[in-house]
Amino acid sequence: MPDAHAGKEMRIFFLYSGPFGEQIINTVSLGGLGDQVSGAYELRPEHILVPGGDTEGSESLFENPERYIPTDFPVAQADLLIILGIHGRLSDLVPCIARRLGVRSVLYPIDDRDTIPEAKKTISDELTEFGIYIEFPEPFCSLQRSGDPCINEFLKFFGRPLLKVITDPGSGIIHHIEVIRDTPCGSASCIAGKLAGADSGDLDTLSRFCYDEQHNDEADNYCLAEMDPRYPLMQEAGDLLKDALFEGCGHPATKDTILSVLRQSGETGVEDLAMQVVGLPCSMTASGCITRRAFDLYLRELKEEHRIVITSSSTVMLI
Amino acid sequence: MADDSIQEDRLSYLVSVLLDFKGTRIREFCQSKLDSGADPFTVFGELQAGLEEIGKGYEDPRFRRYFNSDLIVSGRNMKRAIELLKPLLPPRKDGKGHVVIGTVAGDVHDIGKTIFAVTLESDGFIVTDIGVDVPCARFVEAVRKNAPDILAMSSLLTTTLPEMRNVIKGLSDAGFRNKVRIIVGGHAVTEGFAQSIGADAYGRDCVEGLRKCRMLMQERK
Ligand code: B12
Repeated sequence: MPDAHAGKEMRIFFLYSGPFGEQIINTVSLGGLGDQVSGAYELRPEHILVPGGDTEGSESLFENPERYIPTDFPVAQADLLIILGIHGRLSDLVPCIARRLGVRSVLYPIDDRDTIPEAKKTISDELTEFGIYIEFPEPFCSLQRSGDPCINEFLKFFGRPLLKVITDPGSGIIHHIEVIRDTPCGSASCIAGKLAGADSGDLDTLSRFCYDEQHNDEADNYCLAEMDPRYPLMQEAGDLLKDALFEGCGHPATKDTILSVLRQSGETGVEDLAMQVVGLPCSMTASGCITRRAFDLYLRELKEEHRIVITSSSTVMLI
Repeated sequence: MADDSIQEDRLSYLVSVLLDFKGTRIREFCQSKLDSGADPFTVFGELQAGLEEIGKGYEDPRFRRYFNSDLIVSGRNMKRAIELLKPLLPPRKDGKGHVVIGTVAGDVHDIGKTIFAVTLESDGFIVTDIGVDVPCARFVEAVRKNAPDILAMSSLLTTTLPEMRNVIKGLSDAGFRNKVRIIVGGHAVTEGFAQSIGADAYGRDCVEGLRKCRMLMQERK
């Protein structure tokens, strides 16, 4: 199929709900992609799902989603549709809306268990049938590459934080931090701005600052992901930010630590490895993460990068 | 019917003010209220109704309308309102008594506790606020160090309620229970629970809490 939009700038449309969505739209618009936003629409559950009313059950919504697209939904075109924090039941509308907008890709981040789309698989299948790519990063700021060119275009600006730390060569004091990729909520650039003048060699202070500041609601931008210890997305986002900062400073991040433990101990059980890495304090030779989620993510990535193998008996080996 | 819909509009307006992540609308709201002659406590009260609405929408299993991020942003805006309104409260006339206040371990909700602290202060109590997520040992230490007339504990989570019992036991074990009166409150606390753990008083809200604290001071004299 000839691509009518080839060579042009990618256009983004946001379907969102609440301050979680607003903060991200604000960050994306101010952070370099403002000209490419072709529209945004707030889809509140109250507008569609009336408790006790005929739309309460998801059935009719599921069977006839087109009927439930709000009448004031704008006429717009886009290449990438980003869904932010809408009610899980309203996700049935996503395929219809995606087709109406003519998008090629959909980015559906999950930063709160309660907004997980009810029919994740059905939505994926339906979109795939129409040649539309969909991805569900969890949390949003964990995504760093994608199989889709539109999403990769977005990831040049926002996604997993990527920082370049410029230090004074003599003292190791941070001169400034270049934010190559900001977190979609904007907390990474907010924190980076505050780190000028800090000692890049004081690992403990740097890491504590990252974890605290990342969800500090006194800041201009902060993480709004779920923080329930049973589903610690906010804490995982903290791990990703701390590791981005450590990588930027040239200190060992969690992934480096996983590799060095394997180098020293040889083949190690996944659980044993997790015990050595999760909760490991920071030092000049190693640093761990605070969540098991981040550890599992890094392990998956190392496997995809062909740096480790995970055996059928759940042990890990270097390649 | 008409009254209901006015009330609904009012609530959805308050909710929208509390959910503005930039905090512009909460500032405008507080300012316009003050300009029209409202006193800070009336403004807190109105905003609390908005928070209740968000809480209801968060908790409703059949129709969940608000999520974790909404709790965070509304909490942040309520704190902005406290920062704005606190300096406008009537001048303090210190000397009514000394209260140590904190939210129990495992609970980080600080808005209700802070508003209660501000209410006490504006009535002439000296308040030492020891913050949120306060473990038993720190409550005991604060009582030892400050020798307050009253210890006030807040809990919004049902899961952290047992901590209140723990603190009272900790105070008894350390030999301080008879030296301090205890008041408890917060969304998760009930009068019955307060009695069952041996607290001296319970306050459903700041106004009742203040009245009870005055009574406790009377009893002390
Ligand atoms: C804002 C908010 C948050 C914010 C708090 C921000 C902050 N800085 O405080 C954040 C996002 C951090 C939060 C987190 C969570 N929250 Co919350 N939160 C709320 C919300 C919407 C408002 C709370 C509030 O400030 N109310 C306004 C104040 C003024 O009211 P108040 O605290 O009750 O205080 C009044 C009185 O109780 C009294 N008072 C208070 N303390 C004291 C003490 C004394 C001594 C006295 C006399 C009186 C008194 O005076 C005050 C004024 O009248 C409530 C919903 C609700 N309806 O309350 C949920 C709510 C309290 N949260 C809830 C939950 C479940 C959570 C989380 C577990 C969510 C999660 N899955 O992560 C976490 C827990 C984190 C933790 N470990 O503490 C539930 C608790 C359910 C339960 N019974 O256990 C509630 C009730 C929501 C709900 N309906 O489900 N939350």
